[in-house]
Amino acid sequence: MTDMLPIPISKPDRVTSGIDGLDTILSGGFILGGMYIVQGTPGAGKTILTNQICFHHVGVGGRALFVTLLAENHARMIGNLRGLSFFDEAMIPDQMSYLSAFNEMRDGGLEALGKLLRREILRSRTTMLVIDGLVSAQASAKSDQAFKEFVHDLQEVALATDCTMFLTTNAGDKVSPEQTMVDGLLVLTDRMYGWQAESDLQVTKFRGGGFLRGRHSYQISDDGVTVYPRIEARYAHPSRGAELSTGRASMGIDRLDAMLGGGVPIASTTMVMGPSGAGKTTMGMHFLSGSSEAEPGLMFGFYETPTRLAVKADRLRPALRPLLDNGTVELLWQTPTSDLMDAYGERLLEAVHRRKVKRLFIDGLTAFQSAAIDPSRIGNFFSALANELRVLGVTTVYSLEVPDILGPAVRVPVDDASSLAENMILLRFVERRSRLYRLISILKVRDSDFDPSLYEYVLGDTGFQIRDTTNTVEDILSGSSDREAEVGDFSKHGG
Amino acid sequence: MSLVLVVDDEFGIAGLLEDVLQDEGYTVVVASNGRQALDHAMAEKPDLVVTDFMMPVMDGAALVKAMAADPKLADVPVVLMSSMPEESVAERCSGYTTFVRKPFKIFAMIDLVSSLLSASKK
Repeated sequence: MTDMLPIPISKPDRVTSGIDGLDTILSGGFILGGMYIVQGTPGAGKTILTNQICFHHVGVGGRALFVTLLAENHARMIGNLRGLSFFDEAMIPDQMSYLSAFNEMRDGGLEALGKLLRREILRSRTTMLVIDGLVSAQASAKSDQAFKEFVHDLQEVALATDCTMFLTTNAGDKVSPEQTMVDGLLVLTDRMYGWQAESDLQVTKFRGGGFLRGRHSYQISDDGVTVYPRIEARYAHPSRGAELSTGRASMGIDRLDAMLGGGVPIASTTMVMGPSGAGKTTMGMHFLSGSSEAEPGLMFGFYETPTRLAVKADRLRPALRPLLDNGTVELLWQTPTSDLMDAYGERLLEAVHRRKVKRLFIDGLTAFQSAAIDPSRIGNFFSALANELRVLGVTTVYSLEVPDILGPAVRVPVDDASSLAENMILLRFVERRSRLYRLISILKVRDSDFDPSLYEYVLGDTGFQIRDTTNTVEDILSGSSDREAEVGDFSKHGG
Repeated sequence: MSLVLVVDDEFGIAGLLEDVLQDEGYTVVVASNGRQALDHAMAEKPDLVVTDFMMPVMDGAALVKAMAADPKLADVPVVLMSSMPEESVAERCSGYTTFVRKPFKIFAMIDLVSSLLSASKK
């Protein structure tokens, strides 16, 4: 019977990829000693992805070996990697080494290849192995059975040596024998949507743990591969339980707070809709002026540049500029249409988490929509985003531009807008007697009563000023008002 | 130089053990079932046997039993490997020296082989 210390059984420890989004999709990373196929069309980024994972691995103390089965020049590949930020020449060859097994495989087949890999893993105590060009090994196998045995034997080596392995292949959709054997399968795809291309990563198999199913966008830049898990998949279940919030958050405009019954409910979502020039951004800035050290604010904007916003912030009352200057309110400006919807979502939530933001103004909901290659995702995307913000206790105001500047009809450019926002504020223009008037009204407030009247407002030097009577609106709508005298005296009524 | 007899029907494991133990300076003989292993052992007495439990033709339990019954081989230490838990294996097999649960860690196995060989020489 046993009289020696038992050899420890391997635990399903994780090996991180160093790519945050990918590790999130994999619920923490790859399984130590697992074997994974990375499949994708040429140019999809398999070589970059696997090299990036290797360099991260050696950076945290592992040893990686990149084996090419193709008649490929390593110098050229390394030359191409050199421009990427993760590449670290100092790691080569002691921690990260490159090896061609083309000749061994050509001369001795899979048996010689298997022996070479075993020897190299043991000799250098390799903890991560990439075999690039699996299709060559498959082609040199005498039969499907021989190839399966090769993969199986390699899996045994992976387990016994705690060496996590990646096999790259260009194979198509056909399920090949090795796919049924390995611990996981990552598929990289480039798709065209009209003139736009989107790269997506899909984990179609992952043994040993849960993972985020479905397609997730990724980008390749000088920093290598960045993966953005689908917001609606990542936050299908919000990160924590919701706390009951009963208070109200001021919109920063006294008269508007009164119309809302004391402000908007804390941790709710409010949509401010209106045509261009109606003052949506200004209203959002008023809302942010209520930020404090205990309630940090964030403006996540797309269209108005930081310079223009700074000018507005200077004039706004209550003052916003000091809050921007002392960091109570952060301004994150995004260039519209140049990024992925999930990238925006990820950046937004990162900023919220980082500063424990409680007041959030998203200026330009339609920018998310423009970045959505698949419009059918919009509803679920915003639901997941709103749910996550809600459980984080964030009171959110979105601005949404409506296309019609004038006229009785208000077309909302997103489907099911009502489900995206718990509170809705409508800003509109009305044309009477050769001039435009601005009107504001509340369409709904979550679980509470509100003032449904229409009010006139102006955008003055210090921001929003709302009349405290509906009389002028009735005059405007009936076309009977002589406005000249009243407009001159407006500040007396302002909110 | 110590002679280690590795017995496993899975080539990946047998090949890995062969490579790694050879690198450690041992002479290694590989068999793919208990019958082959017994033939090798009777032809040349090994210093240590590392054997799988479940194999075709003759399994690990039968190999251990046959070695125990042979006065020439009865004192050879045996490492029994299985993916089953030791409690299950022990119901079917006795007389082995050490049990190792699969999947094992190769560098821990090297240490185990070394310590068993050192102990058997004392």
